[in-house]
Amino acid sequence: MNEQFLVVKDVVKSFTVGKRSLLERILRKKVQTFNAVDHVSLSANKGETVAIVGESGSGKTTLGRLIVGLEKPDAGDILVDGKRVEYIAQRPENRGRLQMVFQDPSSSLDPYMSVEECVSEPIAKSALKKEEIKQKVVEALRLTGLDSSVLKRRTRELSGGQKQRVAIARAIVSDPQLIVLDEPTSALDVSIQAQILNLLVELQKLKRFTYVLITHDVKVARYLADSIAVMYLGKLVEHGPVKEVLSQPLHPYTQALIEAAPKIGAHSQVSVEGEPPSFLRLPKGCRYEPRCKFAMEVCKTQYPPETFVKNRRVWCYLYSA
Amino acid sequence: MALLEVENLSVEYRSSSGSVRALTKVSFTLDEAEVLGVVGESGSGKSTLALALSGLLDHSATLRADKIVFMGIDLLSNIESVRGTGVFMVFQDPFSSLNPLMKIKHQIFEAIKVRCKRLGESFSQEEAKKEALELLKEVRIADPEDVLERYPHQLSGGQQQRVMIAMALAERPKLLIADEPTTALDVITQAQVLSIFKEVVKRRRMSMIFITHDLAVASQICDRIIVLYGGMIQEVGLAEEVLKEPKHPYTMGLIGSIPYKSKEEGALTSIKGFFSHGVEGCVFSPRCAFAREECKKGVPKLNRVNGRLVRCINYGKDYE
Repeated sequence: MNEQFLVVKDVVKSFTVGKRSLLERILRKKVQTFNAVDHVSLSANKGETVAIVGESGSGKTTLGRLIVGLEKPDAGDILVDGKRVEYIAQRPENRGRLQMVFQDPSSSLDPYMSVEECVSEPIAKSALKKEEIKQKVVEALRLTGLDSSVLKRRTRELSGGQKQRVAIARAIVSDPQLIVLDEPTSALDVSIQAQILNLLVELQKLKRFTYVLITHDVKVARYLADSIAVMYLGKLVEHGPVKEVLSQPLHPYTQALIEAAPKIGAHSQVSVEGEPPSFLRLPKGCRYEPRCKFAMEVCKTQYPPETFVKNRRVWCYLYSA
Repeated sequence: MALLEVENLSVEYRSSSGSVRALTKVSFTLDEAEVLGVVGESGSGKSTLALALSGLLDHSATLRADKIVFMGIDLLSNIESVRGTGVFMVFQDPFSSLNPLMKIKHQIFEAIKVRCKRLGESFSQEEAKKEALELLKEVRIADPEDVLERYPHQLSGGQQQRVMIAMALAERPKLLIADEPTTALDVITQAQVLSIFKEVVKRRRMSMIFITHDLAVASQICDRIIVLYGGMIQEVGLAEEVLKEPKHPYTMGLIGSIPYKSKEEGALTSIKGFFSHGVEGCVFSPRCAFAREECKKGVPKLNRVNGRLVRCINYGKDYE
């Protein structure tokens, strides 16, 4: 296999819980921590999309922030095109190589900035001349389906769909290698969602962007992604080509997630009872074991090993022979 | 007999920059034990409809209607009399509906107290506790004893929404209005809460108006569906029929916009443009794939087509 464009190697990110009081600090009471991302490895080829799917609290957004360098991993490596992300993020000449599009454009864009200021911000400090910057901004807007008449408008005057287009223009203006899309359509109406999804696919074909798509919506992942990684409480449970994973999910959690998604014309089932446990009271073995209908004795004692099933990876004792 | 009859309901919001019409001449009826879905995108007026029916519109809104009759009571003159007792509303975000400073126990007790007062029953703490436990079991909360003693922030979103449903049940309303009750929840929790709604509505023979932007969610629970766009009813029909064979171009577009394929299979059919106010003629015409000159002439009438109502000149060239 040739060199992968994005490599996430055994990454861990932990957060501390609450604050210690002065007394607790004097007594050197240990800080309670939990791993929001717990030994996660995945990879993606250039020009492809890897979807990270999970519920709230699964660690998917933290993983996305790690990939663009907004957070530093406590352990493990993240490489983009063979270079470590921290290295890329530090270098001024690499500014804008990694970009992120957030869920809610109304809060990710400054409402008082004009569209031009907003989109040009990532390249404003580059060596480019003023005219060149303007040219790039107009081009980025054109690619996202906006004409230059919006340049002077304030972002708060735009509709939700237009705002998300501006957010995408802002992400692509600096010729990024990789874009993390954090729930790019979940704040939008269904009719606008389709427009934005079409736009993202067109841009990827044109510019060979590598996307990391973070979503809770299996349908969005099916449309946009080439491979899919399912996360549950900070750990990967299944990773493989999107078509195979979604048509024939192996892990019981992936199955539950797909069954629960409402579909027109078919009644969705309540696939699992209960809710994920808190990060502070994680089960000792497999994290899904307390809710899993296939749970066995062995699941209670140890986290299942990575098992390869054809071209898929799955973490479940049902498949670990 | 219909439980709720609404005729020509219009709502306008005044603001410093003029007034905006959120709902225009909305008419429908709701039968007993029926679940009516109201589907629409942001700006369609669906939440305004919910607020108007439960009398929760704020002061900047003016409501006009020919008739709103609920269980024989004229709501236009005394809407407060039914709120909470005959009509109960469940909102999108359960955390902001619950009082953060009160234990769940006391919030459910409060609901029971209101009902006791209304029905002239006597209220006792022990009875109320027993009932609260029953209600929490009915909405499938696994450890009701424990949940009663907790504060809202200690519960998950799914549990909070279950508590809201339990409070609704304590009031024994005839009509439940649920405004996007599962939108803030995760997929698996959403399926759980939807099935609870389905169960309690059936068991208690309640009627429900279920407001959502998600057609797939609506298809899970609704008997009939109203599709709103730009504050006007565009299509009404049995849920199954509307979703299987949509007649209005907007409904078609909505269903086509749901991604059910991969990018290799081609682009998604999307609805072009975005919603804007102040359109002449059919409100959807600027975005419609079939729009013609005639669409701008006037607002098309709701045509009756095979037991369905469709506001589109492709089904009859009358204007309002």
